[in-house]
Formats: sequence, structure tokens, C-alpha cells
Amino acid sequence: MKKLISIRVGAAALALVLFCASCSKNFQTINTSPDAVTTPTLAFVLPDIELSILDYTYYCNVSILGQVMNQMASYGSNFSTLTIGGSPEYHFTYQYGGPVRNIIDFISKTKGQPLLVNSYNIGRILRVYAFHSLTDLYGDVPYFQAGEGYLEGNLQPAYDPQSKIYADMLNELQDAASQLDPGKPLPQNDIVYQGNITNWKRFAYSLMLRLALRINKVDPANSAKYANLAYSSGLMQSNSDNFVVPYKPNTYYATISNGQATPVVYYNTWKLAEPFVAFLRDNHDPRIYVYSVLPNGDTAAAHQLGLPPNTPSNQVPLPIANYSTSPSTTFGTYSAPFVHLSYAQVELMLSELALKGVINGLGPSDAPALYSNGVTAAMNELNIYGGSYKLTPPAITAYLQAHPFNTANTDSALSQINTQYWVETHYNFYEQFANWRRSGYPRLDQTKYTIPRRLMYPVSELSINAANIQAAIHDQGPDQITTHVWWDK
Amino acid sequence: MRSQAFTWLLAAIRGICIPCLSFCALSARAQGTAEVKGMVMDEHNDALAGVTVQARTETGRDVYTGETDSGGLFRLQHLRTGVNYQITASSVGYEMSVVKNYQVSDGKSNSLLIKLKLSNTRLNEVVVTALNIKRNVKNLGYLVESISGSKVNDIKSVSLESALSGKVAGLDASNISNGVAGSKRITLRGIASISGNNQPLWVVDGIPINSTAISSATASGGGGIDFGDGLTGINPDDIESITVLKGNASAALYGSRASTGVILITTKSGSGLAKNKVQVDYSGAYTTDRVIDYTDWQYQYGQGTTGMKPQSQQDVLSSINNWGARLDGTPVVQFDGKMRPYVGQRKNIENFYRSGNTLTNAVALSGRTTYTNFRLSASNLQNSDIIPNTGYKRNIFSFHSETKYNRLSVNAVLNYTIESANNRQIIGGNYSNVNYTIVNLPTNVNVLALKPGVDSNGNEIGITSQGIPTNPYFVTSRMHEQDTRKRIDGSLELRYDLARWLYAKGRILEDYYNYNELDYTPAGVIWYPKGGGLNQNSRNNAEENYEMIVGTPTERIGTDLKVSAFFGGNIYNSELNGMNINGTPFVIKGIYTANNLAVKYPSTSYAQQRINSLFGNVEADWKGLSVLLTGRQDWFSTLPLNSNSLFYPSASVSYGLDNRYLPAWMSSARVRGSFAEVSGGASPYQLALSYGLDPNNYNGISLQSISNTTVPNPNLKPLLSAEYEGGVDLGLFSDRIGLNLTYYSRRTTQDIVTTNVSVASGYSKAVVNLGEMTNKGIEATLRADVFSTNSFSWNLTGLFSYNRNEVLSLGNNITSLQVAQSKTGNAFVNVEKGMPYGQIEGYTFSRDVKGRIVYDASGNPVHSGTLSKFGSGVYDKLASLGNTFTIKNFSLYFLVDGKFGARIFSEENSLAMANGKSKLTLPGRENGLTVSGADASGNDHTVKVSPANLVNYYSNLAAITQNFVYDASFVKLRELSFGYSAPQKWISGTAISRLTLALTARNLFYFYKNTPNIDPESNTTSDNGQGLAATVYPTTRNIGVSLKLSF
Repeated sequence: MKKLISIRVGAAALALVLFCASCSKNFQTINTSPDAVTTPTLAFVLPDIELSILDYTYYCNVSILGQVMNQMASYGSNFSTLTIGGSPEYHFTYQYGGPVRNIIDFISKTKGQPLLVNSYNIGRILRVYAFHSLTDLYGDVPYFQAGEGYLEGNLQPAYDPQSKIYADMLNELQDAASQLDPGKPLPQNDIVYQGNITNWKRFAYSLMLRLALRINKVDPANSAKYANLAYSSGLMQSNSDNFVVPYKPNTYYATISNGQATPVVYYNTWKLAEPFVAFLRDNHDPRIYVYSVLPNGDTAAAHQLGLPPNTPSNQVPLPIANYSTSPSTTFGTYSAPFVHLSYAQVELMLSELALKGVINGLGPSDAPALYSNGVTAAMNELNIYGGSYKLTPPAITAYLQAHPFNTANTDSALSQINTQYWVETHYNFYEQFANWRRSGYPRLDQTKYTIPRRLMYPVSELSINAANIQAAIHDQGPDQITTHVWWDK
Repeated sequence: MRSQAFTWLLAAIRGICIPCLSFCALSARAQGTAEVKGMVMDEHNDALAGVTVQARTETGRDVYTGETDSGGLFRLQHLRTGVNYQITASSVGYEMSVVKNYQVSDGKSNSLLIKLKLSNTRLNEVVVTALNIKRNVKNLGYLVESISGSKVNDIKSVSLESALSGKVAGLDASNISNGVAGSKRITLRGIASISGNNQPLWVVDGIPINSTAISSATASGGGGIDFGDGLTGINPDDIESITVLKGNASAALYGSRASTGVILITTKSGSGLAKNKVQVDYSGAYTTDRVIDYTDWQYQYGQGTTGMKPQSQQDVLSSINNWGARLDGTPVVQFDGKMRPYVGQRKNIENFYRSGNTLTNAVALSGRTTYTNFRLSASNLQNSDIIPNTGYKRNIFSFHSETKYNRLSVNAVLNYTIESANNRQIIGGNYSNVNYTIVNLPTNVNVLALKPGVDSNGNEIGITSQGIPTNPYFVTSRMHEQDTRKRIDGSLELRYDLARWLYAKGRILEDYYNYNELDYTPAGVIWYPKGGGLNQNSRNNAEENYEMIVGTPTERIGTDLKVSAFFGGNIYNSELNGMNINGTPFVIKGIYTANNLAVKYPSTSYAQQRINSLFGNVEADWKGLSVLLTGRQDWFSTLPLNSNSLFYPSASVSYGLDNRYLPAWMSSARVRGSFAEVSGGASPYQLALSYGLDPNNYNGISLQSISNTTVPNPNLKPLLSAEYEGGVDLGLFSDRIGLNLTYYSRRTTQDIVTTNVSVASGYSKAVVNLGEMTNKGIEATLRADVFSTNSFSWNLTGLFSYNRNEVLSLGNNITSLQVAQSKTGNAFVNVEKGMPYGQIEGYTFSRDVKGRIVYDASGNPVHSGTLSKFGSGVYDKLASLGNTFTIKNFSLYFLVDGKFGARIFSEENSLAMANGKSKLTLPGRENGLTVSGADASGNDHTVKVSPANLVNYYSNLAAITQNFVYDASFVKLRELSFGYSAPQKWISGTAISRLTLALTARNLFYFYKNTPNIDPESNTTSDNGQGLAATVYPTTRNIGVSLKLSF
């Protein structure tokens, strides 16, 4: 009996000890998700970045910037009292939480691998693209430490002065473009340039030209340096060099669709603004039918009418069905291609730089031709919306002849260039807003409301990243729409 | 033999690091002995099983312990003849019975009949503690509160959680206004973890129940459907008693899942019946819920802008604002283009909501034989909600049996629950939320005019052209939600007594449910999704526990020392399998299935975790001094292999002062103290970064991106919570007054925090091990038999608790962490270092150096731009007073419940300021306002705001959070009930052995509240984002009648 009990107790104790020894058995397997993929497939990541580098929300781009740029108007909208929180922060939140972190991860996965040199440098160019729209919109933003929450464990990145961001972006473009090598393996599933390295180089230098022009007032030396570098290294040569992302019809998940179309697709209250429609209509612009249609399908130029900006609903003169909107076959559809940077923009920028004598070898006398090239390219570019949107050469020539470029008066010339830029960047309101702040053209009515000079930071940064954002606000000025960013002098 | 075996066991225990007591065994000196036999019965002369019967000598040197069998019989052997013993009998829920100076005589004639009374005072009570171990309260070094089942199931309440409100000191039940089927929130002793679960572990008959909400509406963003929690499936009629284990010491044996406390439910069994008796119980109840309208809006001005009546239908559809003209009764165009009088509509709440009804029927059959007892019950609940076309149904079948044969005991529990809900509503957001619509309808729109909500083509009749807010009749008649949960949980426990001093026990516990849900929005909705959309979910969730325990029951060593110990291991395994399909739009009109979606996205999800544990428990009593030591080691699958384990001990001491040293008016006094640590693990798969495929492909090209939005942490460690607790329990005036006082101090360290991080890091959150928080508080319970005669008695119970929470650390450099954000974007719930958990934050007026309000050029008030803290959204002081009056067979009970020290932000009031529905927007309507303060530079600034610009003025005012944060303190009459129990003489001779009738009412009225237009108890969510009230279900007043019969 005594022995039996000893055995029983001993066995029980032994069982517990054995149990203990295997206490962590299989834990690694149990705690690995069956869906876990710890190594990305680069050929799937690059197209995702190219598609998602455009926000899928329209809150910043269309709702705020499209309206303040007098191209879009929402029925009964009141954008004169932009407050902190909500829409102004979407671009910030979206870009950092999506494309930025994926680009930075893509760069880290391709860095230092000779066979991936093209992917690596394309990643760097896309990184500059993502950041230039961020810093242009908000001013000082996290740059050097951004997007590294996992890679570097940096959960509260510092805000960097826009001057330093611009210096680094220009340097990155130069370095990345110079390292692109058509002799090395090409990136797979590149839905913009199909792996064509020459296109990528031209895009990089054209983006460099955009940045150089942006800092023309505040840092003329570097502006000239990089404008000349970009010009001599090879800019976009034709519309086939354009950085255009084609999209697909809408689905439940918005990744493959152009979310900027949402307001027009979804609401019959979203309209084109009258100043934009008036410019096209009153100047007999042959492009008007690509941009504007009445809800009943009427595209006759003379019938097009935009909604007056910022009008209380009970002061809108006519029923909403009388106002023009974006055609569902061009801009007003989820499958609308989105133009990030184009040959037309390059030519218009060169025209301005030529007028100002910034680029060696280009003088004011070259400006008219560059301007004409720009307007012509802007018109021809519209065939991305389909064959019926191909403008005829006579129509383009007639328009150019009716509106000759006025080199005699620089103000007038700058106004013409940048107003054409304003038309060309329809729906790319990030770029349009930046160029408008830089150039001051077209002259928009600012008597009824204040047009912002930047947008406010996300409210969450005030509490989560307080010290860094307060330092930025201290350096840059109050976190308000009236504060000017560094290059906007 | 015995002592040797003991040494063996102790060596084994010592070898596996359980602290132990050293002692030496003494053998009793044999002399003339005899046995005492007897029976224990309750007041109805029914035999009581499982009663602990103990005989001890006057000096306390010799103690003999036994337990009654299923027939209520006990037997104490080897008592010394000619010696006087004090014999006590104690059992859960009964007062201890004491027989003094019982002299044991020779032979076999020593017999005793003991009757136990249901207990009112608690000092001698026996309670169920961790792992279903029954303990006498006086031996516990920590506070355990127990509620008898009758308190839960006599007062018919809509849910179990709300039944607990105001019944236990330190228990905060909130979010209780969202219907029978909605999720609730209970916390014990404050917030334990910064971003983890803070609700207690629920254990029903030893089975840990997965009580996590399937998904609760969040306080942030667009709200959502509250799919209820795991507790809606418990039938209150089955409950025998509820024990609340608030502190770490009491819950330590349950391990990491109990770091937020444990609520133990013991269901009824057949053990209380007389032998070979079968009893049938019936209980029926009917409850009706009526919406309470707390709103007090302005009805002087109607829909419109710039002080004018709407001019056209288009104008009406542009906004729901009330900046129109004075309501003058003249015809005005409305949303549908029809003309109706321009008059205030004050009865929209009354007109839209109906009264809710709940009918419950429950039948139970219980019986007992010599070796076994059982209880089989079935219950049915049918609810129709206050929102039309909304309801909930529940059927529960339970089986519970206990069998003891010789050395083997077998306990089995099996429950099957089928719950189904129809049209659970989207709450908290601004679209498809009927409550939002009702609150925000323009003052002159009658909700009944919105009927039927759809036109002849099935399209929504819009209130605005954007479709926000949604027509409520479109929501209730066309939008659809249906879910069913089938749940099986059960346990099988085998216990074998290897020797009189050694037993082994094994348990298998299972909690499994299958859940299916489908919701859709048909084509025709104005807002979203165009063309309609559908979402279909199914999930299977299984949790198993395997447990093995070896132990020795209470063993006497020497004259005064009693020792018991056990040692065991547990494996916890949880697996979740989910499938989801969603898509848009519907292809064929009127067919609402996933197959009929043009684009559909199927996905699956899976999560598994395991916790392996070893634990041990040693208990010793010596002359009124009780010591309990426990230890537990957990291994977590969710943590990195090198840091996945933690040992945590607990020690508790209790000492009952000898009556001889107490003043005459003090009948008993006890002091207790404890220290305990509990750890907690993390959720699965938080250690590594993962890449996921987009549901779409692009021309056949797959798209991949980082799937985590939370930065994973490969170096996670378990969290640790350490608590000290001390207290006194006093019985005064022959135990007529009982007083418990407790102080506790709990510190949570290396808390696993899902902290908010700067979005510029690429992520919105990160999992870190850096949280540190303390909860310190007091709890007081006073129970008094104020007056007591045979025909009349008055008992009262007063509870008070105060908890002081302080967040000590949120990690390096992090001083603030966002928990929730209001839909209006101007209010936040943040955790702030150095402050109590859950600060409501937002904007104040911007003021110049002289303190004057800053106005912009148009005269609009400017907000501060930086966040100010307005106080915690969590109550820190809870108090309640319950009174029971019994006059013969009638009883009257009422409970006054109060909560203090929390603040709440009301989105409703902020919106009403912006849309002109608030009474505060009346100034300036006719002639404008003149505001006077400072401009941005601090200069004197006086501006006239014209009536047309009032909308901007009040919109700016609406953005200033400070104006809508209220003191959420309240005192309310929570419960009132009136009961009648038929006298035996009336029903004797009939088949009925007991008949009780009760009339109950809940949420009667507030004595005190400070929240205009809303109920202070209307938090949006049952998660940690407390302090934000968006538009959720309106509060209801519940009145019910119940009948209980026993045959």
C-alpha cells in the first residue's frame, strides 16, 4: 500500500515535470499566422506603389484644393472656414500610412543588390515624388526619419525643414537617375513605363525641373543648378514619356480605381467651378468637351456653365441640373487615368525658365515655341481618354493663333504659361495648387474668401508627436492655412 | 505511513518551486472514540448536500471535518468520548450553524440535526473561489463578494451585466442602454491595462466563457453594428450564485486571463433537493421597455439657411440645418417637395420608437438520488426591440449533474445556446444610424412624414441629396441584418480520492460557438454603397482547457494546524476560424445573396493561441490565522520564445480576533491582507511584419503591400500586475451590522500597449511593453438588519468605492496615447502620462493674455488649436444603497445607484449647436449678435455677426469641445421591485410547492444629472474609449412582471 501510494504520487509529480519541459513546444508554429508572408514579391509591390501613390480619398485633392483653385465646386459648399482636423489632414495620413512606408520598405529590400539597381533607384525616384507633394502641401514634414516605424523603430519622426527636404530630394533625383542602368535587369510589372529605363530617367529629370522651378524665388542658385542639370540630362520628349497611371473601374476596394472621381460619380451636387468653365468657354478652348458636360449629356461649349464658388445653397441662382460637371467618359470616372507629370508641363515650365533666362542656351526668344509646344502637348495628351478625345491639329493651331503668346509683357506671358498649366493640371490639384502659389497665376478672386497657402497638419500629431511638430510650428509659423511654406515667398 | 507519504509529496512540490511550509506531523493519541452522525437541512426541511461539518474541542486542539452527502448526511469519526465539542455546519449562501458544548458519548447514539438559514450577513459565509474551490469567507485574506441568484433572477433585468450594477462595491457596469442583445462593459477596480482587455473573465460552472464582443461599435469614426458579447447567452434563471473576484489574490489561480478580475457564476443543481425527489420549476417574465426622451431642443426656428425658409426642394435637400425663419405655421417645402406647415415637431422620438417587449419562459427539472443529482433546464426569450423590425431570440438548454460514488465523483455540465438577432442597428455614426437621424432631423420635420422611406422604385426618399442622415424607415424596412450564434459549452470533471488525504482531479472544458451573420444594403440607398452591397460572415471559435490537479484535502496536523494543498497544470488553447465575403453591387434586383454580387471578395482568417500553466496552492489555518500561498507559471504562445514565461506568486493572510478580546457590541472582527501578482499575454501574431495581397488584381498582376498597420514587436514580454490588499470585516450587534473595509493598491508594469504612433512613421500604432499604471482604492460594504421581527424586516446594503487611477508611463518619450476620436473630430479620449486613464480632450476658446475670447474678423470664436484635458471618462466613485422591506409574504426592494467623477463629451449637443437645433443657438436669430473680445493680436475687438452669418458663428462654437463636455455624475433610482411569495398554507395540498410573483422596474428616474439632452450613461462603445457619447440607442425604462412556480 505504502509503495503503491509512493508510486502514484511520484508518477503525478513526474507527469507535471514532463508537462513543464514541453511547455513551449510548437509555440513558434502556433504563433505564426498561416497567412504570414515575411518576404515581399517585388514584382507585386511596384505596381501597388504606382497605383496607390495617388490618394484614394478625394478630401484634400478635390474637396479642398479643387475648390480653392476654382476648378471644382460643391453645391452649397463653404470652404472659407477650413478648420483643423478632418479633410485637410487626409493627404498626410494617407501618404505616410500607405505609399511612403511601402516605398521605403521597397528601397530597403532592393538596396545594395547589384541586380536590383533599377528597382532600387526607381524606388528612390518614387520616394521623392511622394514627398514633394507632402512638403508642398504642408511645409515642414517628417522626411529623413519618416516611414521607418518598423525598419528603424522610429515611432516619432522629426519634422525636417522644407529647405533641407528640397536639397535632399534634388540630390536623390540626380543620384538615382544617374544609377539607372538599362543593361541591368528591368523591374517587373512596371505599369507606368513597362520597365523602360529611359522613361524613368526622363521622369526623374522632369521631376527635378519641377522642383527646381519651385525654389526659383527662394534659392535661385540651386534652382538654376538643378534646372540646368535636368535640362541637359534629358527631359520628357513627348506625351509618350508622361507619368500617367491608368486605372480600372470602381470596385469594393479602391486600390485599382481613381478615387478622385468619387465626388462627381457619387454626388450630383459636385460641379465644375464657373471660373474654370468660363476660361474654357469664353476663350473658345477646343478642349472644353473633354472637361465639361451638362447632366443631360449636352457638351455644346456655349451651354456649359459652372457653379459659382463658395455660394450658400439658397443663393445658388439655378437648379443643380443646370450646372456642368466632369464627363463620365473622361475625368468623371473611376477608370480615369491620372497624369502625375507630363511633357506639356515640362514645356510650359521651360517656357517660364527661358523667359527668366535661368537655363543656359534658352532665352526669352525660345519661350513662345516652348509655350506652343506645351499647349499643343496638353491638348494632344487628352487622347488618353479615348479616340474621340483626339483634338485635330487645325483646332489646336486655331486656338494658339487666337491667343498669341505675349512676350512683350512678362507678367502677361507668365500669366499665359501658368494659366495653361492650371488647365493642364485639372484634377492634379496638388500640383496645381503648388504652382499657383509659386506663380500667382491665374489671378483668382480672393475678395470673398481666403485662399490657403498650405494645409494644416493632422490633429493626432499634436498629441502623439508633440515635441517634433511644435518645433516645426515654431520654425515655420502657426499651423494655419495662411502660413507660407519655405519656397512660397 | 502517512507522514512519509506527505514528505514525499512535499519534496515533489518543493522540487518544482512552489513555496511550502515546513511542519512536522504529529499523530493523535488514541483513546476512547465514537462517531457523530447527523443530517443538515435547510429551512424548508430539504436535505443539504456538500455542507462542511466540523467538530472542534473547546481549546481548538482537535478538529474533525466532514461533509454531507447528497442526502444531507454526514459522519464525523474518531471523536473522543466525554469531551465537549463545538460543531459547526457551513455552506455557500447559508449562515453557519454552531452547536456548542456537544458532548460525545460512547456508542453509536451520537446524532445531530442541523438546520441552516439562508445567509444575510457574510461573515461566516462560504463562497466559491477560484477553480470552484469553496472557502469560508473568514479564512480568506482577500475580499470576495457574492450575490445570491435570487438577486439576479428575481429582478428581471434586460441583461446579466445590468443586474450587477450597484450590487458589488468597485464593480462599474456601463454601456447598459443598448438593448438586450448589445454588448456591455464591466470593469472591476478600474482600468487594469492601457490598451488591453479590461473586462473580467467570466467563468460559468468552472468553464471560462469567451465573453469578448464579436465586434462592438467603436467610439471613433463611423460607428458600426454592436454584435453583442458572449454573455447574452446566459440564462439568469439558472444562476445559483455569482461570486466576484476583484483582486489579483482572489483570481491568481486563473492566471493571465484573470488579470482584470473574475466573475464566477455557479448554476443551480439538484443537490439542494431531498433524496429521491424531483422538482419542476417554472419561471416566466414579461418586460416592456419605453424610450426616455431627454431632449430639450429649440422649436422656434425651422429648417433653412441665412434666416430664411427653404425656397425649393433642392434647397431643403442641401442641409438639415435649422438656421431658417421663425416657425410660423405657414406652408413650407420639405424634403419630398411637398408643402407642410412650418411648425415644431416635438414628438419625433415618441413617434419613431415603439415600446420594446421581452418575454422569457424557463422550465427546469431537477432531481436527486443517493449518488447523483441533476438539473435540466430549457429557456426561451423573445425580444422585440424599440426600433421597428428589430428583435432578438434565444433558446438555452442546460444540463448539469453531479455524481459521487465511493471514491469517484463525476461532474458534467452541458449547455446549448441558440441566439439569433434580426436587424441589429448601425450606431454611433452618421449614416444608416436611425438614432442619428432622429436626433438631427430639422425641427419642423415630422419623422412620420418620412414614411415609408422608399419610393415605388425601391429608392430611398432622401432627407438630404447626399443621403446623410439616412431615412430611418429605409433603414428599418430595406436594410437588413441577421445573425445566429450556436454555442455549445460544457465540462467533464472526474475526481478520484486516491487516499483519504490525496485526490486527483481532471477536467476538460470546452467553449465552442458557430456564428453566421449577413447584412446588406439594397440598391436605392442614396449614400453608400451605390447599387447595394452585402457582407456575410461566419466564424467558428473554440476554446479548450485541459486541467489536472493532485491535492490533499484539509488535513489536521497536531491540534490546531490544518493544512491543504494542491498542485496542477492547465493547457488553454483557443482557435478562431473565420470566413467573410463581401461585395457590391447586386446584379439582379431584389436578390440579396453573395452569389448575386457583381464583384465579390472572399477572405478567410485564422488565429490560434495557447497558454500552458503550472500552478500550486497551499493553505494553512492555525487558531484563527489563515495563510494561503499560490504560485503559477504561464507560458504564452503569443510571446517570443525567449521571454514567453513568467512565474507569479500570491500570499494572503487572515486573522479573526478572538471574541474574548472584543467589546460586547462587536460580535466578530477579522483583519486580512494579501499580495499577489498576475501576468498577461498578448494577442497572436504581433511579433513579425507581414505582406498581404490586395483583393483586386490589376490586369492579372497581383498587388502586394505591407499588411500591418501596427508596428510588430519581436521583443514582447508578458505584462505584470502586482496588487496589495488589506481590510477588516466587522460584525456588530450580534452581526446585525456587517461592515467590510478594503484598501488595495495595484500596479501594472510592462503593460503591453498598442500605442498610437505618429502616422509619419508609416504606421498608426505600435505594440510596446512600456505601460505602467496604478489603481489604488477603497471599497466599503455595509449591510444592516435595521429592523427584524417575524413579520417585518428592513435590510439595507450600502456600497461605496473609490478608485484612483494614474498612468505612470506610456513608454519612452510618449506622454499621450489616443484611444478614440469623436466622429465630429473635435473630441478625443487620450491616455495621458501622470493622469487618470481616459482623459477627454479637445479645444477650448482661444484667449488673449487678458483672458478675453479671441474672435476672427467675422466675429467667429477661434478655438485654441491645442488640446486641453477635461477629465477622465471613467467614474472614480461608485455608491449605491439597496433597501429591502419584508412584511410577511411581501417584499419591497429599491436600489439607488450613483456614479461620480467622470466626464462625458456629447456629440449630439455639439451637432445641435452646429445645425441650430440647440436652444443655445437662439441668441441673435432676429437681429444678429454683437461679440466683444480680442482679435488675434490681442487688441480690443467688437464685431456684429449678422443673422446670415450665425451659421458660421455657431459652427465655430460647435467646434470648441469644451462647450460639450459635461460632468457625467448621476444619482438614479436604478431598481424598484415588489415581490410576493404565496404562504405555504395557501398552496399546500396543491402540486405547487412555491409560488412567487414580482413586479419590477429599472432605470426609473434620475435624482441628479448634469447632461442636457442626453443620458449620462450613453457611452458609444463597450471598449476602452469611454467618455464619448455619439448617437446610440436611447435609454429605456423597463417595467416587468415575473412569476416563479415550483412543483
